Amino acid sequence: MTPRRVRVLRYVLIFALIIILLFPVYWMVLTALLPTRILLSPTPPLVPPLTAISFDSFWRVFELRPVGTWLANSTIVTAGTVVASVVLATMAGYSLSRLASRFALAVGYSLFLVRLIPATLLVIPLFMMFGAIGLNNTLRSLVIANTVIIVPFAAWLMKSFFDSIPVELEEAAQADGCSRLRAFVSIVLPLARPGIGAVAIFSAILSWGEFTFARTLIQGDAGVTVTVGLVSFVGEYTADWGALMAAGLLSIGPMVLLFILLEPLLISGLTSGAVK
Amino acid sequence: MATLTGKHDIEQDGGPPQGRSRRRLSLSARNSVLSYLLLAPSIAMALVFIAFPIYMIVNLSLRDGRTMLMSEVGDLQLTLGNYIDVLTDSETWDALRISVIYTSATVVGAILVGMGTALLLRRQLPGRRWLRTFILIPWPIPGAIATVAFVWMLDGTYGVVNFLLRHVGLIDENIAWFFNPDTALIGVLMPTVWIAYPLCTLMLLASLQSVPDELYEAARMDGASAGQQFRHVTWPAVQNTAVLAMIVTGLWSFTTFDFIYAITRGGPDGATQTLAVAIYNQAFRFFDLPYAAALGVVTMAIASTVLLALFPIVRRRFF
Amino acid sequence: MNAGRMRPSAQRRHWRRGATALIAGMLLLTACGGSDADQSDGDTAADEDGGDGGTEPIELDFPSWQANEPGHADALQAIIDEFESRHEGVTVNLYAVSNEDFQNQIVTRLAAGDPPDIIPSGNHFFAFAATGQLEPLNDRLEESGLLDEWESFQSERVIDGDHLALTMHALTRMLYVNEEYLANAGVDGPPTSPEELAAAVGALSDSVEEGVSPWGATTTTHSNLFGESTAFIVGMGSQWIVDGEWAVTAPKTVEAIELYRSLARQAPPGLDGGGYRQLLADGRVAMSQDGSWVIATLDDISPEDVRPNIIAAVPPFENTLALVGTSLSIPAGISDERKELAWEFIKVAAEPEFQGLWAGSIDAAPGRRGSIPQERIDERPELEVVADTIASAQPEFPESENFRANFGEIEQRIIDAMMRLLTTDTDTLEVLTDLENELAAITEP
Repeated sequence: MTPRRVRVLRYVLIFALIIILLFPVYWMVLTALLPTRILLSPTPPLVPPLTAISFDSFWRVFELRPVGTWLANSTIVTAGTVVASVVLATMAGYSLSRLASRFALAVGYSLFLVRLIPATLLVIPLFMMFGAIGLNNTLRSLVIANTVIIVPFAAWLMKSFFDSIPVELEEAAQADGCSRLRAFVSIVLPLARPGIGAVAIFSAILSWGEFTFARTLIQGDAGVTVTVGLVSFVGEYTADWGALMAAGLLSIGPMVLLFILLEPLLISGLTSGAVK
Repeated sequence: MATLTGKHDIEQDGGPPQGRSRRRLSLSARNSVLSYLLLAPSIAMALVFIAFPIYMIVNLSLRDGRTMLMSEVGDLQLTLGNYIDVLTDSETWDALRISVIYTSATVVGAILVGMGTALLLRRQLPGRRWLRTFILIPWPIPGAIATVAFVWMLDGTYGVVNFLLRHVGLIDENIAWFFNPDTALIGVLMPTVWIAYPLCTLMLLASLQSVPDELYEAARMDGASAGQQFRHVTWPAVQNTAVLAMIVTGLWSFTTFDFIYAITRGGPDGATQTLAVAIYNQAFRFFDLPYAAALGVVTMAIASTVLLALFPIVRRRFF
Repeated sequence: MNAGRMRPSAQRRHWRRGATALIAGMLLLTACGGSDADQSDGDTAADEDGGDGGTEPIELDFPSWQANEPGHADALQAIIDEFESRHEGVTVNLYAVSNEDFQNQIVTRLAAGDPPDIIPSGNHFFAFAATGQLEPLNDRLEESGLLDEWESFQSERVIDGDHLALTMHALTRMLYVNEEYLANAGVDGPPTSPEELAAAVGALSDSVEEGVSPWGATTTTHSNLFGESTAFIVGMGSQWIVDGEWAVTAPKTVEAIELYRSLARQAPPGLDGGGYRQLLADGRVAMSQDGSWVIATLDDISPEDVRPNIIAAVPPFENTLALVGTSLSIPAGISDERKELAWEFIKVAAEPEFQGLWAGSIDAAPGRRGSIPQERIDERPELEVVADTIASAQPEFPESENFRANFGEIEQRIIDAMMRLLTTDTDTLEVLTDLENELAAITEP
């Protein structure tokens, strides 16, 4: 095949894939814009009839619920989680990369143990622990819980990134009279920026979408995050499907923005190996 | 420019990474106090948040009697009865079977989709930045609306998926995906893979970045087919990341229950009851915390065995 | 990526930026803790109430899934306002928890020993009761003489002889009929017996167009399955336990379940209550049996051209059901002072005025006899139907302490059995026999 045809084929495949993969999102948008009566039919409209489109659901969302509070809470928790995760993961990743002892590596691997505990059972002990130290019903408890879940993977991600930064650099710096810590902070860290960016995005997404802890560790409506707040559109007897979808779509806005802004950083950040 | 490239990660046919210079460095350079200190906070945090919960869960699992009250757990008698019950109950093994199917299918599905999308989006294409952003959109979609959307999309009477499938001629009659025990698991896998694939795409795409186009050129000039190119150029470069992605996806899908619960609650008649869902049911529907805890311990034991088995592979790849 | 070495000054700047970010992050963390730490005031109950002469304001924690629901929200607020005006220095913090989460959250809190002060419950009641953490109200009920004024369905909240909640109101099931479809099918008026019901649904299924189902019911694993199947069983004169014996395979029970099954198989598969209610409201389901709460919901969600066609009729069975709606409980794990205050709150809610207000606004029958004024009943005909239905209603649960005590597991088994009936072709009697064995293994009837 000529290169031209290969390229066209490639584009066709990409678009086909995107259409299939993003179809559910399209459907969510339609659910927010059309009444169920039209959407839930044996011949659903793949193209929405323009006359039936209404943005009522979106207005209702803001009318009915304190979406602003939700967004603020989610942002606080996410920001806190990102900072904590980046700090811990960077430090741990560096250690895992530099330490040559098998014991240490095994210990690092054991970080994954945290992810083995079923969330259902983890929630009660966590609830009690946070209660005991007075962090009951605070956003801080969510930050901590999220960080605990994120750090294992993030640490290993950073590790693989640090692996590609030769130790000679630090050696050279030490030979020049830098302390070990200084070498780490001024030489290695800046080079690890893309990795840090990757961990930041990864923890942002996980923390923004976290549900299990957010709904159990927080009581009252002051600390509700977006993910928990969404469920309130499902009432006891019926659900406001349109508003649910509208609110849900609005909630991914910040994340999509983050993607767009940090996409280049993200891709180069996750390179586990050669750095171009 | 000062080179940081070091060695390419491109390995020859899966052999161990070449010439890692670290092994020749003095131990003092590597195992410095600083390194241990930097690891300490993470380990400490993990210890605190693993140790107490595991202690509580194991303690619960060894107690006789049904209770929902943590404060009276200490008064109950110690017993291994819960473990006996768990291990002899056929529901446990059914749940394990379903968990295995669910987890493996999710991992395979996510890696395949991730690989496919990563390969397609690797090249320099105009608009690549937007395409890559679009592909990742399922990732931040909240589980609450993803489950609702899929329930309606896959509905037996009014679902658009049935409509499309019939239109295209793939099926004759509507499939009630979540209603029919035979199709319920497949139905639940769809939103799961959908949410899980973007992470794989991201990771695979990133490590594909490190493969220079020249290698592909060279391979093509040598007459390699697409399949051979994949095996000899692509795969060696991404295998590490792929393994990591599979581990993370596997761990997540093994322990997650929100998705399945929101869609089918483990039904119909247990067809989608994974271990995670079973634990939830025991704790919050049957109000038998000790039993649930025992089931939880068994689940963790299975998962850590698998994880341990994978450790040598991970060690080989990453070190 | 630019891999060149940075100049020393740039490095320092970079490091400073990193450190600033770190510090900012930590400040953020400490700051955000302060703003919502106030929320935890309510639950460190034990510490606060030591002193006397409380100028110390007390806030009662009152989560509810109904805090935002139409009808409930206003009634609750009215009760709160009245209570607060009678008790200086005491406020009630009512906040919404979504229905999906409510049971989990409260159970977790009860299990962990940190409960709210006032616990409302629907059918979540049995989960809460199972924790053993609900305060028995017997003494308080006797002292205040409330029990004499209360409807008999209060017995549904008695576990092992202890009244663990005070029922606020009861609901019932109605037959919802889309009259237009019924007329098109050639049926005059809603069915009044099980045979007529089966016939009507049959006629509907022949006459409705594509995309409309003749019957609506829950067809996915959900607790509604218990309620819906029980409605048929009790309606046709049987129960899960009759005369102290499991009656799952009694002839009347089997007959009832057969009818339930044949109808549910004509309902759209894979939907829960919210789903088929939406379809009923949209005019895609012709008939269904559902709770009386749907009347108000229909007003909200049904499009204007469909709503007038839908009517609520008395179910076509010899017996009708009384389903306990909301009830209020007090946790055992709070201080005595808080318990007293919570009880005071419940007493306000038990007063005739508020009973009438709450039940009246949601088309329910109040727990306290005779609380709804006649004018209100005259205004809203649906209330009349509800009142009539409840007048001769049977309780939803059988007379059995053990049934209530083990409800969590029993409900799950019944739900699974119903799903088996709906999704497979297994013989009804066979499924019910298996179910009876499972239930008998759980507990004595």
